[in-house]
Amino acid sequence: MISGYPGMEYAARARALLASCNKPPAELLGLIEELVAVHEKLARRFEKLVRISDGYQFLVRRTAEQFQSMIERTSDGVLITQDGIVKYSNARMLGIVGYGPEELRGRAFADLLHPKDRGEVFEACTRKTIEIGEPPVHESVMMHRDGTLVDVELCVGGMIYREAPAEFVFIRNITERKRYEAELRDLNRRLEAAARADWLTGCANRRGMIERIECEINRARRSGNPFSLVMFDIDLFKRVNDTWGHEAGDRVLVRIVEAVLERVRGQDVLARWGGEEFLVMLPETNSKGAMIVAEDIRRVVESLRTEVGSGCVSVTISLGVVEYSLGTSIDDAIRQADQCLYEAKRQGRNRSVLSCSAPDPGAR
Amino acid sequence: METLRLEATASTPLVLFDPGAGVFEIRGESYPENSMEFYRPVVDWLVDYLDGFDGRFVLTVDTPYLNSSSVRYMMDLLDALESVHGAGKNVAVEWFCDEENERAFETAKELGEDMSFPFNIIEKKL
Repeated sequence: MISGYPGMEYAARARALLASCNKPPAELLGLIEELVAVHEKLARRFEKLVRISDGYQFLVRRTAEQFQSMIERTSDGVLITQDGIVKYSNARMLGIVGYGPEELRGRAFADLLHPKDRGEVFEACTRKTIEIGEPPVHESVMMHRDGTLVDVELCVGGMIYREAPAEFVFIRNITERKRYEAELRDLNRRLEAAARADWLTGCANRRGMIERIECEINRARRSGNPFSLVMFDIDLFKRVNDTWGHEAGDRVLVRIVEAVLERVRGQDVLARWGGEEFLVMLPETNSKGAMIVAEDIRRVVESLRTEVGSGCVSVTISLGVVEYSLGTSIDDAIRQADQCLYEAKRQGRNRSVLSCSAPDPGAR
Repeated sequence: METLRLEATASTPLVLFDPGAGVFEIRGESYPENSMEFYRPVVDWLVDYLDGFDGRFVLTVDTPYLNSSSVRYMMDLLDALESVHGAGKNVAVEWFCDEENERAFETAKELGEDMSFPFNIIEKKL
């Protein structure tokens, strides 16, 4: 018999009452026993149902606890919002924005975002019906309580929280990653620039110059306007190095580059081509204009005085000038300038020589 | 008797009682909004049927989840079987559980332990 059920007491009282009767009807006795049996069966069913139900309840509770613990310990910040108001946040989230749990709960989610993100991003994070499937990720900026900005990645989805529609937001602090990316970009830019620059003088190197000439050939092909190359070499530079040392020689090179760059236009390109050999590219310039520039450069260098140790060095340069003609390879054009340069040396140095292979007007 | 067929929905299982084919099965999760409305006709059908049948009757149950009120009606179904078994009829239950669903096993054990007819709990490999 299952105890603790009032029906059993009633049955006991009915039995006692019947026993005190003189001639109790046998049918009534049987009825009482049947009632007791039904009662016991129902009581057993009730107990069983409660046990099964308890088992599920325990499972639900344990599962909820496990997930809650995971959410609490994840490396991302987690928020649950309803109607744009924060209802729940994990500990990591508090660290990202610098608020205590009580300060964060009840705060408007928009207040945590940078003002620029209070429109579109905020909308996306508070939409009632967020599509099923992989939740969308937004890059955004949050504001720490102390005013600093925190780069974040927001992953947003819809859920039911306390019987009402809500949104969950996973917030990943990507400030470090952003900084690292910026550093990498900067480093790449510097490496790119360095790969095209001469280490000593800072002007372009061969690679940089060739890329620029390639661009210029394409431009000349489109516009039909010529460009010219001026190759120059310092006369008797070996003497400078032998007399004053390589450091002095380097200083002369640097001074020449400075002086030439001051002289030429912004669009002109100067490259150190070899040891003491330089190449200048003059866009939108024909041979006549290039000769004027070449002579100008020659005079500037001739008038330079570079102080080295106890003395002062002065050098001259010889120049070869060529107007690029379409269809010519870069190598050939440079070779022509080089030949003119050697012609200038042959004629006694400190002069400019124009290439006699005149560009073919038909090729333009 | 006519076949009873209730198609499965998100919250109710498939119920197929087909005397012609000798198939009696309940398959799918069960958490109806109104359990009485859903299960009363099922229980009534079975009681009616068992009253008149002769031969062997096997009820197949394969439900990964039963809410409490569904369990309550399962008990009614099993009671109906138990009572005709007591009257000498050949009945049995085959109750399927997913291998890793520990709760479903416990539920099946609870439900089967008071039954005097064969109540087989069969593990389904995932």
